[in-house]
Order: sequence, then structure tokens, then C-alpha cells
Amino acid sequence: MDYEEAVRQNLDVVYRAALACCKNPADAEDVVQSTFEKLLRTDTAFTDADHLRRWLVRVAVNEGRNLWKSFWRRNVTSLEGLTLEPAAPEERQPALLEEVLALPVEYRTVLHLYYYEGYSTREIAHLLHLTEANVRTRLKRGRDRLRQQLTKEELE
Amino acid sequence: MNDTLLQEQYRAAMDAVHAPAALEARIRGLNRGPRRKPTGWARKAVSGAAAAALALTVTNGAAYAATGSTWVEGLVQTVLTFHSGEAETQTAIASEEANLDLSSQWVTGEELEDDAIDWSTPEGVAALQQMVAERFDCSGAYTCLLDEAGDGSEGWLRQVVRVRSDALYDHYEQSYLADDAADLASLLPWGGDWDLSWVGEQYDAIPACSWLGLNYTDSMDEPMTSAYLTGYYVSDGGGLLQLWCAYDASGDVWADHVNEAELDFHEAYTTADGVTVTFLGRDERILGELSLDGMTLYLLGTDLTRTDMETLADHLDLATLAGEYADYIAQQAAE
Repeated sequence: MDYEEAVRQNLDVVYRAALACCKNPADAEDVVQSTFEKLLRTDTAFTDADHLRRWLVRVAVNEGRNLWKSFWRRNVTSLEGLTLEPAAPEERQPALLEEVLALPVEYRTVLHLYYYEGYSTREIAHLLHLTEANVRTRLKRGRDRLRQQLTKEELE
Repeated sequence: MNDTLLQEQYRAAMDAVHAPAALEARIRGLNRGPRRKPTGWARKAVSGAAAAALALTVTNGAAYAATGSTWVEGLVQTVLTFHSGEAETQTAIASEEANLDLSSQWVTGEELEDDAIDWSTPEGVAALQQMVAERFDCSGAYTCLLDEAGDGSEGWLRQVVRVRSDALYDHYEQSYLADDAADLASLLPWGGDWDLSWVGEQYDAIPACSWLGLNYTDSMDEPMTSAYLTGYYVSDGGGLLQLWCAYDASGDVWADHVNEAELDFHEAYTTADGVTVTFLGRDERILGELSLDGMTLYLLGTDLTRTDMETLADHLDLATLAGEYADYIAQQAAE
């Protein structure tokens, strides 16, 4: 698969994964760029489209993780503010998406990998350097918060 | 709402999210000419802190300022693209425009030069010490769980455990400060018998600039995610040496491309104890690298000769380091 085709098939996938593990869309865009830059540089021989997709998601999550580990990010986040902007301010997001994006990022990442990418808790634990128990806890808390918010919204 | 329904709704909601057109254009353009600069928060962060981090990490800030040569940029590229790990070890890629991309953060050569620290001066040493001290700072977003001075018996000057609660990963950082990295080697996760003392006997360690960092996610009871040992030394002739040992549990320590055209030499050197170290060099700047699975030891020499660096590698007890690390990895895998 050439680069153009890889972008066509996976750009949204990577962007969604990046949104799930970043605090704001600007960071997510940087993560997407870093991810595709790595694709351009990698020697990995992808066996099929699914292999490529999983590789890209994995790189995106790691890039998001590294973003948070950066020396100056730790020291300049106050400059940026951590308020999550809607991905597309001009459009009203579906209620569930808004709730998802409002979740703490540690829950959001796990939920996304589990619900959307179909990773097992074991795979997520490996990817995020967490214990499986920790992943399950985050998953449960994420789900609970989401349900709570959605129920609250329905009642209102 | 049951879980299946929640999952279905989640998928439907996410399916409705698409990358903005401008981002798509940028990504499609990546393989057509020079890369565009990232547009996020990173640009705003370009400052002395970025240059300081670079100087701290690569310790060739002075070299960069002094020469401004493309080779130094190449070396920065080589050193830093080896690693995708932790905060103080950012990636940096020299661009075709002679700019540097510091972990997706662009800094022009001029900006670096303005802020680069000549750490051969007392002011530079003080600045270097200040940068190292940031690892031990508990203000701002950090809370100290432990801050104690060493009593001399363990070799370290200070130990700090700090936690940052508003970040995603590496919430806990355990750091030790020492005058000589040799005093900290035994505290590495695989440490024990690795003996670095030869370096301190042959070179003068820059005081209060050696540190060991152990990083944990969520809890210090959980497996460590990364570890760093670094030390700074000066030779009798004024040469500078940085020793830097980096471990990342994710295995995210890798060798990237090397710009051969800008190097004087690139050799695989076998030490007296049978370990292969890759040396890259030009002029008086040489990088030695020992890459193991998930861990890399870097030796960066400025104004040191190739013989100096090879002799150093011969006396660094690298076979012990490699053996201990292999045992550690095997044990981790077994668990």
C-alpha cells in the first residue's frame, strides 16, 4: 500500500485515536503528523491493512504519551491551558461524543482502544504500560462516568 | 444503558469525527518535500527552556554555539533521534533548512545559538546545575513526597520523589542527585556490579550534575516505565564528556538514521571486554553508543579524541552492564 492510500484509509482512524489520548485538538493534530512522519520513515513490512492500522494507532498512542512526557510540555502547559476545545466548534457534536471528549484523558484513551479499536485489556495494558487490573479499573470508571453523564443529560 | 449499546453509540459518535481538511492536506504533503512545522502548542513553547533542555540532553550546546556547523546539527539529530523516551531526552531532527525539530517542536538555529549555554565557563556550569536541579523541583505542578539529603553513606547528595497529578503518565519520579554518576549506577533497576568508577578517576565530574531518574506510572508499586542515568565530566585537556544511560520499558529506544556524509568516521568498536560500541565522529566531537534491547548507553565527547573515547569504552565495564541488563530483561519477561 502506498503512502497516499495509507493516508486515505487511516487518517480519520489516527485522528480519532489522537483525540482520544490528547488534551486538545491541536495536540491531536501534532500527534497525527508525527505518526505519519514515522510511517514515512519506517521499514516495517505491513502484512495487510489491519496490520498497518494497528501499527498507526499504536504509534499515535505512543506519540500522545510522549507528548505528555516532554520536558517543556510539563513546564509550559500553563501557557496553553488545558480546556478541551470541541474538535469542530462550528458543528454541534453528538451528545455522546461531547461526553467522551469531556472525560479525563486516562479514561478516554482506554475506552477508545477498547470500544473503537477492539483492543483487549491485555493489549491496552501492554500499550499503555499499565497493569491489566488498572486498565479494567479505568475502563469501568470511564464507562460509569459516561453513563452517569448521559443519564443526567437525558433527565435534564 | 448496557455496555453493548454504549459501545455501539461510542462507535457511531466516533465515526462522525473526521480529520480537518487542513490537517489532511498537511499529512498528504508530508512525502512531498520538507516537512511542515507542527502547529500546536509547541510553537509557543520555543524558548530558552527548549534550548536548555537540548543543552542538558545533548550537552553540546556549547559546541553548537561555538561552531554552528551543520555537523553538530547532524550529531544532535543522531543523538536525539535515537530516543523517543522521556521528557529530558527529546528527539531533535535537523531539517534541510538547518532548523531543529525538537520533539515536534521547531527551533531555529539562531534561537538555539542565542540560548545555548557555554558550559565550559563557571556560569555555564551553574546553568547546567540549575537545569539538573529542575528534576528535583517540587513547585508548580509537582508535589514532593520525599526530599532528603544524603548522609554520604550511599553516595548521593539528594533524593526526591515527586508526583504530578495532572499528567497522564509517569506520575511518579524518583530522582537521585550525585557528584559522580558512578555513585548512582548501583541504583539502576538492573544495577549491582556495574563499575563506572574509572571515569571519575580519569575525568573531573562536574559537581551536582549527575542524576538518576526512575519513572513510574500511577504507582511506584507498579513496574518502572523508564530510567535515566546521566553524568557530566571534564578531561584534563578541557574536553567534555556526557555519559547517558537510558532505559524505556516500552522498548522505545532505537537507532535512527545517521547522516554518513557529515561524519568523519563511523565504526563498530569492540571493547577490551568484548562489547561492541558504535562510534560516530567528526572533528573533536564523538558519539559512542551501546544499544541493547530497550536500553542505550551514550557517550558523547566534545574535544576528546577517538582514542580517548575508545579507551573510555574499554574501561567502562560494559560487559557487566550488558550482562546485568540482559538478566533484568529476562526476569521481566518471566514475570
